[in-house]
Amino acid sequence: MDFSLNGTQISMKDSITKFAHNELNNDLINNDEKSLFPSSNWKKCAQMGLLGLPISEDYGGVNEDLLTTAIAIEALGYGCRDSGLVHAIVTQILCALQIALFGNDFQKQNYLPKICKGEMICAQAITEPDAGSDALAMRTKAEKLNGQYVINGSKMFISNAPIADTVLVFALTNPERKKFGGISCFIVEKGLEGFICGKPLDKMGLRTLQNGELVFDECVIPLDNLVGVEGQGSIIFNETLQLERTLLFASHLGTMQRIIEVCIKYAKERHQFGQPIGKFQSVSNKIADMKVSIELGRLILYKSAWLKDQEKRAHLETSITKLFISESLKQACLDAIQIHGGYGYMKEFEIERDLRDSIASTLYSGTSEIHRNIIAALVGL
Amino acid sequence: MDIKKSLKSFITSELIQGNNNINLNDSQSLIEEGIIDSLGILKLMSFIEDTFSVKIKDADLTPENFSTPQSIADFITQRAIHI
Repeated sequence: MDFSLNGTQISMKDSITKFAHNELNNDLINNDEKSLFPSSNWKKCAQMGLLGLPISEDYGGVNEDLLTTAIAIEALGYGCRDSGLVHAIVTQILCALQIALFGNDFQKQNYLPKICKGEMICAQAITEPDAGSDALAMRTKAEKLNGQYVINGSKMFISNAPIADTVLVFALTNPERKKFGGISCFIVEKGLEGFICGKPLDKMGLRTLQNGELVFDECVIPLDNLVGVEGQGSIIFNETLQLERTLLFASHLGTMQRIIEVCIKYAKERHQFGQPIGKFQSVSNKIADMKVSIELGRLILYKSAWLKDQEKRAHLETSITKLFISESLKQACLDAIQIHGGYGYMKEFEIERDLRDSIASTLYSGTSEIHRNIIAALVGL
Repeated sequence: MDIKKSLKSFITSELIQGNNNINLNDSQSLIEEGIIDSLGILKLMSFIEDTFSVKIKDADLTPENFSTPQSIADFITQRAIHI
């Protein structure tokens, strides 16, 4: 067993960290307050090749394996303090992966180059107003009529939706087949009649990420827009979730690394009662716990990515990855504020933003409670 | 190894909790009758790969391949031939 990174991974980690640190941290507080999506930084990330990291060079990607992609995204989460932008980028990569893994040749040739260049922004629409944790209980339907699909229904909290040009929509094609086998995945492009996107939702955190509601009212799409085969939607969903729970939480691991470094620096510089506050165990213990979480989180994250590179199932490992890193991140943010005292509560220090951003990580991609249920089921309970 | 017998044993003991005495027939629709749900399919895929040493590719993951004990057994047999 070899835990070392190879040369490509080391140089990619270094270059992305420097790029993110130097290019992506402008106007953070203002953009957060006004919920502004940083379009210019999105373009920089596209030019850097970040949007097509795991996509084949044939379609304009970088052709990296999933482990290297996870390491690159970890570096992005470390260097870029705009977690909303990082989330938007990972959403884009996940949409590209779904088309790369399950789409036909035409779909790959037509969509992937534009996605990798950032010219086409993507979203995936699964969650509905009444189908959150029970995502596959969705009601949005796609009926086959006169050689076309007609979509009716609505989706909620969709990341990138207000700015998306293309949305991967999951809808019921055969309600009698229930959750498994009754759902299909479709590519729906903006501008189609009956496809309505609501205003960006006003959120507690991740405010530069644009989330919104999508409504489909007799929206007609060609049969060719089906991804994979009819009834394969829940399988695509399950496979994609493993990738999401790896890549999205790689960025959170990077965020945790940044937070611990900020805390260590502050704990050394800040003096109270005649000594650095890091000398007090009540402070140093919190930082030690952060380090434990980062090291353990990295091990399970890299194992998940490695398993997917071996084309193996990793539902248990990715569920553990998601649960552990999201809860660790939230705790690290709470502890970071506590270590910084009153300063940590101020916007200027940017730690309160990390905390607001971190809360969502325990909700999306399956809540912590759902992941405990999944883990329990997968160990035989 | 009797593939269908092994499959049915796994499905009844692991996927249908509290119903260990149920008798599955070869053409019973596992999906439409709600015997396999989204979590059940994850367990079943891992069981198939581990037990029968076959690789399930993304393209193989269709409802048709997993609809009945017979279709799953056919899929495993076909995949095993290609190894």
